Amino acid sequence: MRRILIIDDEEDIREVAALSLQTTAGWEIVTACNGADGLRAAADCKPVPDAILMDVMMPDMDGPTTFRMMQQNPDLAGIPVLLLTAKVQGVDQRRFAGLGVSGVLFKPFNPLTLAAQVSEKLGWEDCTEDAAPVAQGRST
Amino acid sequence: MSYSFSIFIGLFLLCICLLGVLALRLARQVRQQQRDMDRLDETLQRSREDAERQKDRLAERSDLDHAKDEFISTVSHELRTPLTSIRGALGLLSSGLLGKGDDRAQNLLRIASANTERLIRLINDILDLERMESGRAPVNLRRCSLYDLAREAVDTMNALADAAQIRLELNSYATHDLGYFDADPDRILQVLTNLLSNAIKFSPTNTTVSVEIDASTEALSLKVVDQGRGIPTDKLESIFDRFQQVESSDSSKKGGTGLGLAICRSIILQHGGLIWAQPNQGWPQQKQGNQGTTFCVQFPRARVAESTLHTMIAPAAERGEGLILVCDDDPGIRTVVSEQLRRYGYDVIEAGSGEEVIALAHEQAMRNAPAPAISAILLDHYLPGLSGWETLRQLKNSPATASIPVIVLSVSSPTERPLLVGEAQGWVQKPYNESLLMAELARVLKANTGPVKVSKHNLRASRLTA
Repeated sequence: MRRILIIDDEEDIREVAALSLQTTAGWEIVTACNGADGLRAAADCKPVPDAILMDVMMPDMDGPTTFRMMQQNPDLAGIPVLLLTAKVQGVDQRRFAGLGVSGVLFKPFNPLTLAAQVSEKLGWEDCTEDAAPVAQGRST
Repeated sequence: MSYSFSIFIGLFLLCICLLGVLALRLARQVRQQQRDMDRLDETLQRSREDAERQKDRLAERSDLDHAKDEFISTVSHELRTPLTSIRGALGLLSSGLLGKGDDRAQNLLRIASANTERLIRLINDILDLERMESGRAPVNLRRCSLYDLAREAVDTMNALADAAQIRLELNSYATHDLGYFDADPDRILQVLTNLLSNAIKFSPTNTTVSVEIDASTEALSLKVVDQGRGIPTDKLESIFDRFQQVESSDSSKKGGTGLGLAICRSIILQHGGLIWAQPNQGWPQQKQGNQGTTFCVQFPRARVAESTLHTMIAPAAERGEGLILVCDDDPGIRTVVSEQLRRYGYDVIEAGSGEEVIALAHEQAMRNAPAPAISAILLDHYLPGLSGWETLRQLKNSPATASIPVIVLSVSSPTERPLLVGEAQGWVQKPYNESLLMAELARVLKANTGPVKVSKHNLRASRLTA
């Protein structure tokens, strides 16, 4: 089973995202409420999480800073990180592209397809093993 | 002896008198010239101050733009954050993945969820439109095939069409060579999917929506033809305005934002193209008054980038010379126009706004030889901030820039020309034809008796007539 760490300062968003990934993909979810907490949670996980889903705008230490600190820790540097952000402007997107993260997903996300989007960004192929996301109106 | 002496004295006195008169006239001339010089200095000083003020205004405007960007970015982020929780919670509940409530509760959840989606689309569309109309959405031009883009749009929309029992069809009458143009593929795709989505939404079941591509040496065009309920003639234009729909209930029934066509128009205008709607003409399968609508998009030939075309459009105008100031808020169009001008032998400087045009024109006029003054200005009429017409008026009102001929590039129809041309010396309609533009430029430069150099003489002349 895949294990995902969600780092976001909004409790409601942590809860919704966790529930979404658990029910649609059956993944195990660990959450953290800020960058420092996230670094600790990532290091405490044994084995380390398969991926980290991280907010950008967080108090004290933002997503990009947390990501850079992870890269300096050899235990954490290999974990793929996806940014989950409400910053959708072109300028922001160009800034994210230069960071070296594995991908960027945008808020508000669709709770039924979030797991599929994560899997697509990370090249995973087994996301829908437990619960198939409800397809949207495609009749063939 | 005394006789010749007195003659000598007489001649000497005459000489003195003549010299005196000469000296007096010289002194007067010097004074006159001094006055002229003073006047010139004054004019120069005033023009310099004008240029300074314009520069300040430009700086102020970019500060304002920056503040506006910040604000919009913050508002966008602050709206999205609570919407993330709402969308997540409602989406999971209404999907039934967490167990089903009774039917009435389930229906309420479906309504709340659908309207959350609508609100998110609305926020996205408003931001999109704002960015584009303020000229801050960059257009990334690449050579693309209109057919490939249409194919991609049709493939994307097939699922929606299947669900609505609509057949999508794509026909191209363009030969391969003529089907290419320079455009921002993501933006054009956005337009095509939007037009298709509208056509599908407003078509009855078991009908066809067809996309037709055609290319001539004049333009590259695309039509989206539906067999829907049609659009009343008085609304054919207004549907491209914000929040204007054929029926006021359309946005709630069809889930649109009322901004789709406004966004389409902005994108097409940014590409120097045209977009309009018309009732279907000669549609073979007209059924019970469902005449249907055709949405037409046309791209100017100047953007048709196939190299063979450049040889087809032989330069009608002879090679030109001089410095041309090109003003368009769209950097893509500026680049294309500048490249064409350089190919014809002109030197080019670019401006992105009316304010910049005025600052640059003054700067160039103030600069001493050998740097050339501006020979002509190509001015877009659709500019954010200082409009094309306001820019034209200011140029003509300032002695330093009044004599520079101006050619207006505009999407307005030629029937409006007499009203709009104002003090401009030339007019080219967008989407423009490269050789027509060059011919018009050559005509205007010739009519202006050679390249205009803002010399001291010109300054005085324009001051005297001002």
